[in-house]
Parts: sequence; C-alpha cells; structure tokens
Amino acid sequence: MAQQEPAAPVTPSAPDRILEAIERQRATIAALPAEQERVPYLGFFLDSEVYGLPLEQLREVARLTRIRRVPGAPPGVAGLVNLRGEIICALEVRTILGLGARATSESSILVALRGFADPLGLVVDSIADIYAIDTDQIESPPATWPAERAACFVGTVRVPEGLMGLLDLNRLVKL
Amino acid sequence: MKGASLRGRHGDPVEELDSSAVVTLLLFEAADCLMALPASEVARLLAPGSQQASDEGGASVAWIDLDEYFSGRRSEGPWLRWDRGERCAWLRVGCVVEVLACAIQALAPMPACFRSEGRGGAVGGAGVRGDDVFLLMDPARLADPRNELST
Repeated sequence: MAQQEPAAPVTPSAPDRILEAIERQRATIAALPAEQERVPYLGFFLDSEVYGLPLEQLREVARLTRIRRVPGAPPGVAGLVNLRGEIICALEVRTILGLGARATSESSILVALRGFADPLGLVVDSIADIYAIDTDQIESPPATWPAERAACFVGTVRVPEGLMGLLDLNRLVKL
Repeated sequence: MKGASLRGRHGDPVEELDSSAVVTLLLFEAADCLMALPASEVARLLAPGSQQASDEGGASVAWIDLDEYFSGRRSEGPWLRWDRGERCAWLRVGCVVEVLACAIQALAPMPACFRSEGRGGAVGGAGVRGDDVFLLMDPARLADPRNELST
C-alpha cells in the first residue's frame, strides 16, 4: 500500500486547510487499485504451462485416485470420478486445449467446479498457486494461438510462472 | 425414510416411491468399464464358448458382444441373458464381478455430455461402489444390427 503523506497540521481556525487535507486523502485512496478489481484465480499446470480459473467457480481440489472411462464419451471427457460418493464428470482439459492426451497419473489432480448443472471437474497435472489478478492486466490471448484454442480463454495475464491462460469455463465445458 | 408419492396426470397416486429403496445389480466388466444391470433382468448366464450350445442362437434374439460393441475388440467372457418384459438379448461381457445391493438414491443420471444418440446412449446412469464408479446399462438402447432388440 502506498505510504500516505503525513497530515498537514490544521487548526480549527483554518477550515479551508481541513478541506484541503480531506481532498488530498481522497486523491490518495483513489490512486490505489480498488479491491474489487482484483479477482482471485486458481492457477494449475498442464505440463509446464500455467492456466487459471476464477476461484468463485472452484468447489474443491482433490487427488485423482481412480477415473472410469465411459464408452462413447466425447474426446474431451476423461470419464467419471467418485468424489466421496458423488459422481463427477471429469473433463480432459489437455485434450480440449489441443495439448495431446496423456494418461492420468497418481499425481493428477481433480479440480471440482461449481456453478454447472452437472457435477464437473477438470483433470490437471498439479496446482500452481492462487493469484489476485488485476482485471486491467488481462490481455487478449496471443495472436499466435489457434482460434479454437484462443476461444477457450477470456485472456492471459503474466504471473511469475509465465503467461497464464485464463480459462473461459462456460465455453470450455461446451466443447 | 418417508416415501414420496408419484402422481399421475390427473393427480391420482400411481406409485409409492421409497427413497431408501434398494435395487440389486449385477456388476460386470466390459469394454474396460465397470457396468451394471438390474439383477432381476438377468435371467441366465452362459459360460464362455457355450453360445453354440444355446438353442436361442436364431435370428429372434440379439447377441451383442459389449466389448466389440463399444471398443471393437471381441470378448471371450460369459454371456448374460437380459430380459425386460417382451424384450430380450444376449450380452457378452468381459467378466462378472459381483452382485451389489445399491440404494436407488445413490444412482445418478448421466451428465449431459454423456447423453448421446450414439452408442454411449446405452448408458442410462451411474453409481458408486467403494471408491469406484459403475455405469448402469440400459440394453434397450443398444443399437442392434437389426435396429431393435427382439420383441
């Protein structure tokens, strides 16, 4: 947080200087980024690439113990997972994003989502971190990305781990 | 647990549904999946290789190898005789796993992404067994080469 200037000495006989100090304080607060403009995202890895989804759409994160495939399922659907008695439809994000299929391993993670009609989850490699993203810093996906891939993102943002693609989950789950 | 009443179009009670009701399922493996059928709909079990010994090998009853149906690989497992009212079929599975009593409320409809008109449409729902998941099959939706199962 930016350090505030020490308040100017005022006296009851100088109301104009009090008003001036209040205005200075307001200007200082206005210069700070508003808290509601920073949106928390969960970052996760697919290979060495980092991706993010809004924390408000996260239900929980669990280790992927067993996944049962379903015959006739679309390629982007990994199968069904029993999450403490609840059946979750696990999406293969890697395939949906065109990264190529890879068998799930013991270290794979299920990111269970909220806000969808069916219980859904994403199969990811590992969790990166939680980031407070300043919405002003979100940029469009790179022009070098194929249109099909770019359509899965609301944008990208630079984080310490690299360029993080911010997933558009509502679109992703329809693919 | 208190039962819930189902009502017909005119409001008349048609069935008493107990949410704690239990259905007995026959679990089997096929096409690398764990699948289930209501045990009450499984009338017979034929050991591998005994298809020819059956006197029902004619055109009136469908014989469907579920491994081949879903994954293109032929199974060498047993055959189950499925009967539901007038409908019937012989289903070949990889192996029979167990008979499981399952609360109806523990069964879930398939998520929308699995509901299809294709071959996956034969999966009507899913349930849990320990930390595993099984698929509840509806053989009536299997696409018979003759477009419908025997009636």
